[in-house]
Amino acid sequence: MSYNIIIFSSVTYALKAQGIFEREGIKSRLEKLRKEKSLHGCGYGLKVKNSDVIRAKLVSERERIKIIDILDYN
Amino acid sequence: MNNKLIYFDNAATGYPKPHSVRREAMRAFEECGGNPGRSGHILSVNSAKAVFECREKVCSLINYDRPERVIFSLNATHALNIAIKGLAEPKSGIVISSLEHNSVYRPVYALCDKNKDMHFDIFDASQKSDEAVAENFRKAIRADTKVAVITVASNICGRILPVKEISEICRQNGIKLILDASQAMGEIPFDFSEIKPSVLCSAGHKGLYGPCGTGFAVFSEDINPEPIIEGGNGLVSELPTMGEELPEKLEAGTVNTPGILGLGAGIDFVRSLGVESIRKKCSQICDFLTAELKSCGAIIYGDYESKTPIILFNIPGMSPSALSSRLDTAGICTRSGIHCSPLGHKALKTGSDGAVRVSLGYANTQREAEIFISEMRKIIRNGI
Repeated sequence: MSYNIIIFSSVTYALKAQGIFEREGIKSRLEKLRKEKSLHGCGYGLKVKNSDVIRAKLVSERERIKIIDILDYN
Repeated sequence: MNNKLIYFDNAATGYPKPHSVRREAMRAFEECGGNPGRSGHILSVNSAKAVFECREKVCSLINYDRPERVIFSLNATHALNIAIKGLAEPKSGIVISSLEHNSVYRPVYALCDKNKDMHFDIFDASQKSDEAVAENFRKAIRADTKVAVITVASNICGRILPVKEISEICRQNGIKLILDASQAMGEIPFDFSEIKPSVLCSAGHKGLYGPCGTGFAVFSEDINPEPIIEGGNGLVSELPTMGEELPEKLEAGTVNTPGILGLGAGIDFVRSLGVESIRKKCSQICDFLTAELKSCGAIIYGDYESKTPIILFNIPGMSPSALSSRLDTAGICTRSGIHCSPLGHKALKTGSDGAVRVSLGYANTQREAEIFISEMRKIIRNGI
């Protein structure tokens, strides 16, 4: 199964998004980004299944949570 | 908890702290031992999640749906300094009420003392009529007034100010409103979404029974203050600035995780009892004490209809500090003096020695009030 990591501007926004994702049935895991991936934001992201990324983006837009970047997890 | 003491000093700090508050603070040490928002290991992530949950609890208490706009602080004074100094503008005026605590008066005074192009005005909030107080506020506004800082409830007499009306006046005049809710949180219902201040500041350790060393500020969506303290915040570490995102922009350094978790438990505790239920019980005891003190010949200052359970009084011919000390020997905790509110005492005309303050909390009982009155009658009869 492939995963993406959604990067937010702060750990607070990442946690806010995680709570909302959970209510929408999107599973995610809070992770600290590795240095090479941490070019923007706080260095935290939510690991989500690739198949959930589009829905996660739409939910984030609806809730006005800014996504800094979406990267391949590996 | 000390069962022998009668604690009537809840306006200073709420006591006793509920068991759940103590337990949650300990949990922070055991399960959330990492620094929130700094590392990737389980202890840091647990801490970050726990702190975020507490931001959500503050929001639930005040009916506001933006937990990221909740900033944790060391106390209300710290929160008020963040708000006042973060929002104050050069060449402008600030309005405060005549009942403000030094946590408002001193930073406003210091700002205007250091910046000669700024000034502040004080309006009389001591009148019994809410309409009169709101009108006094309106009259205090000048063309260059940009910020108003108002207490929701006075720390010396409990008077609840008409903040909804004042907020409306502020919006009509383009003034940012900072509310000091330190004596109101947990004592009266507060709806952030209805009252719509620019900022709400509060202590975490009074009516919310969190640990000392906690407080918070809640910012409305259109407010983006500048930080007054810079340091590490786990955000864009490569930059020399604090970043642009709340809450981290205004939380420099490591937050007080055990305190914050304790505060979260305090909020849960107050909500489980019900703010209205606490208020009703304390009001009844307060009314009894007020009536009995009056019958003893006490002078009651600021006996307002709409107030939190605080009584400010003097016994003619008795020094308030001597009276408070004498009550302490009988195991009754009160506070005497000016209570960090020289403005308030001046407005209520208590005199240079101030007065004795009794302030109730969830744990106080009618029996304690009766013991207090019995002791007061003894003191008045026999002298201090």
